[in-house]
Amino acid sequence: MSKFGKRDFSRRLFLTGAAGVTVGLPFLETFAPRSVRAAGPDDPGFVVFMRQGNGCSQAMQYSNPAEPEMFWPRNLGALTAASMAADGDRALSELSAHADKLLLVRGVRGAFSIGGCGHARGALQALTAQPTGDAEATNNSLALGESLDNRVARELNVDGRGPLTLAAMRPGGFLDSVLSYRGANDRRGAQTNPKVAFDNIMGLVNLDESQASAIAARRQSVNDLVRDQMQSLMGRSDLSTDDRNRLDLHFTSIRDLEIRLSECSPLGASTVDAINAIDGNHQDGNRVVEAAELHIEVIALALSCNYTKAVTLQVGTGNDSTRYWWQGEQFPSYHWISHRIFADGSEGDTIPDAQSKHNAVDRIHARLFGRLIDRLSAYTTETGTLLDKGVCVWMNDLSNGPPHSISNLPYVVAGSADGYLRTGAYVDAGDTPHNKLLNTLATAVGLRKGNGDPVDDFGHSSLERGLIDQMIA
Amino acid sequence: MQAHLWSIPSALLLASCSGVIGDANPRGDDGVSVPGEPVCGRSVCGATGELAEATAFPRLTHAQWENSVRDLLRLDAAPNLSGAFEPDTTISFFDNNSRALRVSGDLWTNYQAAAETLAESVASDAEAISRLLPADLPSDSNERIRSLVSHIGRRAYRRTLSPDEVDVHVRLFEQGATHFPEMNTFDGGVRMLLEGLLQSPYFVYRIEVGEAAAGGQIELSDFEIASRLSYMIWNTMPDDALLDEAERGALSSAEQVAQQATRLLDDPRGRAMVERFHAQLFDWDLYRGLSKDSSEFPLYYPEVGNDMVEEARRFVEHVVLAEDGNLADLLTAPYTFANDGLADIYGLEGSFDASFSQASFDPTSQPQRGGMLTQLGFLASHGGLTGSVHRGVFINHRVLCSELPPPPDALPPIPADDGMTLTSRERIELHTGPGTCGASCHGSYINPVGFAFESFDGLGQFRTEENGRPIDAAAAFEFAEGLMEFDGAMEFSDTIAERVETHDCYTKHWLEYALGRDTAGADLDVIQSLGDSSLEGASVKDLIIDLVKSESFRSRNAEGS
Repeated sequence: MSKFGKRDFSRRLFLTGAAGVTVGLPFLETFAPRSVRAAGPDDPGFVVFMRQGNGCSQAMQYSNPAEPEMFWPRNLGALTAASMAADGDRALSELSAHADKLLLVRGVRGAFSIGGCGHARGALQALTAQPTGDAEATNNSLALGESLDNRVARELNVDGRGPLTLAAMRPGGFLDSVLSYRGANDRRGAQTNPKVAFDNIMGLVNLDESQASAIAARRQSVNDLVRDQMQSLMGRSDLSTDDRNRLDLHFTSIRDLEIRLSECSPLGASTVDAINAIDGNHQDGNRVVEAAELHIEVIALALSCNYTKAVTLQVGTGNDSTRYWWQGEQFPSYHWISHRIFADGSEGDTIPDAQSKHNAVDRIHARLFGRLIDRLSAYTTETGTLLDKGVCVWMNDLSNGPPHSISNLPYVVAGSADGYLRTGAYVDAGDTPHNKLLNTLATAVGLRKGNGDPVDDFGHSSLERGLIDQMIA
Repeated sequence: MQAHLWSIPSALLLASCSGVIGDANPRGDDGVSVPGEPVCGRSVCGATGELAEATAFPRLTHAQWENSVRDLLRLDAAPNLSGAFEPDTTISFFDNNSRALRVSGDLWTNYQAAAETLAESVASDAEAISRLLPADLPSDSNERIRSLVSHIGRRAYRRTLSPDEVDVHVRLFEQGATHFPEMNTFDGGVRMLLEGLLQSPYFVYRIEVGEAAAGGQIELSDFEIASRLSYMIWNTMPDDALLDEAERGALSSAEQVAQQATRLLDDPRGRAMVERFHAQLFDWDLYRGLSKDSSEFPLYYPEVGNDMVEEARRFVEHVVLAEDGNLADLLTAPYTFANDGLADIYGLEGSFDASFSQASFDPTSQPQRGGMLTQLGFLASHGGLTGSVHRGVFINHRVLCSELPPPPDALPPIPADDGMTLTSRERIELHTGPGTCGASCHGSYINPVGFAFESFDGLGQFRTEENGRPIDAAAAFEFAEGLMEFDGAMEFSDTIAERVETHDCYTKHWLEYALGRDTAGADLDVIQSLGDSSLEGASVKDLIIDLVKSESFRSRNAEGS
């Protein structure tokens, strides 16, 4: 366990050396000029989105016979370990041990009804609350605005660093990275390799402060030359709007070095070994859960090091066709399970016990989410645990299988963001569009509008403003 | 049960195929595109004057960055640093579509770290430095630095530096003494210079600001054309010979560009481009993940996917480069390349071993095989009960450029037919054929194409029956010239090899690849002119040369601000 202080940068980062000996080294960060940020809590929280695809095993009227409820607990209201465990036939019972940290929110629907491919439609709006510019959603459709993880990173990451964008998947499918957007039509690719993510957080050289100062001075010289070059390009009168934006993005990325020291807790030697070991096989379709578990270790490290305030972890591709293992049996493609047949469309032989298999996949994701909760709960602070300082969200870009609906999307929230959100509760938002849930999360972690008010307008300007009161403590 | 490890459009039933092909002949009645009127055809949809978005700052792809760094620093091999770079998303068949390529905060950090690593590595090695020096290095130390800066700078920025730019970079060089006191002055200067050059926008982007505007086009400079040629054909920076031509002003006419393009194509790196283009267009990556149930397919083996990629690669290389072949050859040539494993699946006569050799399809015993679409990789990666739909969609999208709208949400699963033994085709037709709501798109576009391939099972093996019932691979498709019938994949391939829309689609993709952008109405003339040539038998190499001779290659679409 380590002390996670409130942004006190006077202590050193410790890296576990080869022999298990901790080695102190300064943790270098680069700086952008701080943009003016609206007033908010002095110590903002973080947000982690863990995304499952293909919907969950909740009740569905669509088929004949209808499918019963297998996901949500039976009763709205207070959650206890006992009450959740008593609903053992429901996937969320897997998280019973964490009942007092959880906020389950039903009654939230995707804000935009868009025709076309259901997976694309759900995924592109999930974190953006934006539609697409295309008449119908296809696998190449892009959202018309930034995602919430990008917004949180932009406002809360002190060094101009983008959000940590991770995925456990075998890429190259119909839909690849789907969640994170830098802005309109500018989707970010996810990092599938836990080792690369780990190295990016940890990996610099063993330096003392005078060496670090020398680096800073040298980088300044190079940056000055490059900035001049960029400015002469940006000064051209014949630039298109798109090119202007392109160059702006690049220009604001050029950052000078300031030495900062951060404390965070290293990962255990066996975890580091496992991260190194999966390198090269991290895109193996049969190791998706293992890759996700290692990404979760990296996420815990990143948050405890204050490396970032915003994380997304996408499990599976856009229409996740992973063949999950459950109790010794390897399932058919999860995408097929969600369609209830041995095919990707609407024509094929029925998969036996398909809803139960879907339920099992839900449990696998629940256990991943439980792992994330455990890891963040292991770091203590003066006021509680690292988990309590932010909010983790297990979400899905669809609500169910065959119909690919986006009504009653499953949202499982953990962490109170320093007491802003209710915990230990299962609430019904009453058929509310999901931009209001994103507004609530944004406000919870410390974002505010220019006048200091809670964020009620994230996403597309056509959407009704507001937060979800049932979520707020 | 077959395991599919890839993901494909979710549903088969389409609500409507509106805004698509209809009866419009893309060429107009006299074969010429009608100016000013919207044209919605097999190759491109949009008003004829419409310009596709074209950035003046196409960023190097990560692969291009690797190659450029290798060649700029004259390394023995690419440094393999881009594996840790922020990944790019894919928004087209090709990885070089510049819409997806930007420098974000994270990528900028990656570039900085890589530049510092490479600069240190080179500057600490006398032999590595010597590779970067111009042949005639002056003895005077100031002149020496200017000469070095001009020489490396020209190669890094892919154009000559102005005298002011040389001054600025010389000053950067001279700061090496301050920032690297532990190194000798010259080496420290080289290190400083390389850090700057590698992080410059002039290295990271293939800047295309052009020289003069004419109508909706910006004419590119000779240096900019040199970069376009080199990145298109070799996926790397121009070599010294190409830069010299540009510097002499000898790279602006169509003939001059064609001459250099021919030189580049004849090089081994040009061969790699032919492979890379087809690998991306036909999605050979899908083959690598193949996983079949060996009780259903006893001839399946775990490495078969990689072997199928090798087959496709050798075939394309042979047809295009050795035989100087054309699109029709790619679609119909009666041979392939196989090792023992693939030969078994094909049922080829003769002896094979673990190495690959060319194998002909005997027209009497194997009349159903020939060309890319009857090769195992394509067939096996779109197999199974719904394989015909996937094959149909794939060919419509990638070979015919049909503008199919995406499928709508999946409808409730249809219960398995009980007691009825049907072929896959019969099942699919039950639910998507005439009289169903899927008829407009499935009936007209997807199914006829897919059904032509019913004679090939989920591993690509030939079959004449399924579930005890005879295979029916006859279908008809509405081309621009009218409804045409075919029986089986070979007749289908022969048919499309002679259709203008197939050739237009192919040349459209070449234009996308060459220019690193989407195409739009204004590109129709080039696409159709090349399509005409291809239809008349022009080789793929000739198409590439004609493409680089076109105005489209030597200019860029202007953009409103």
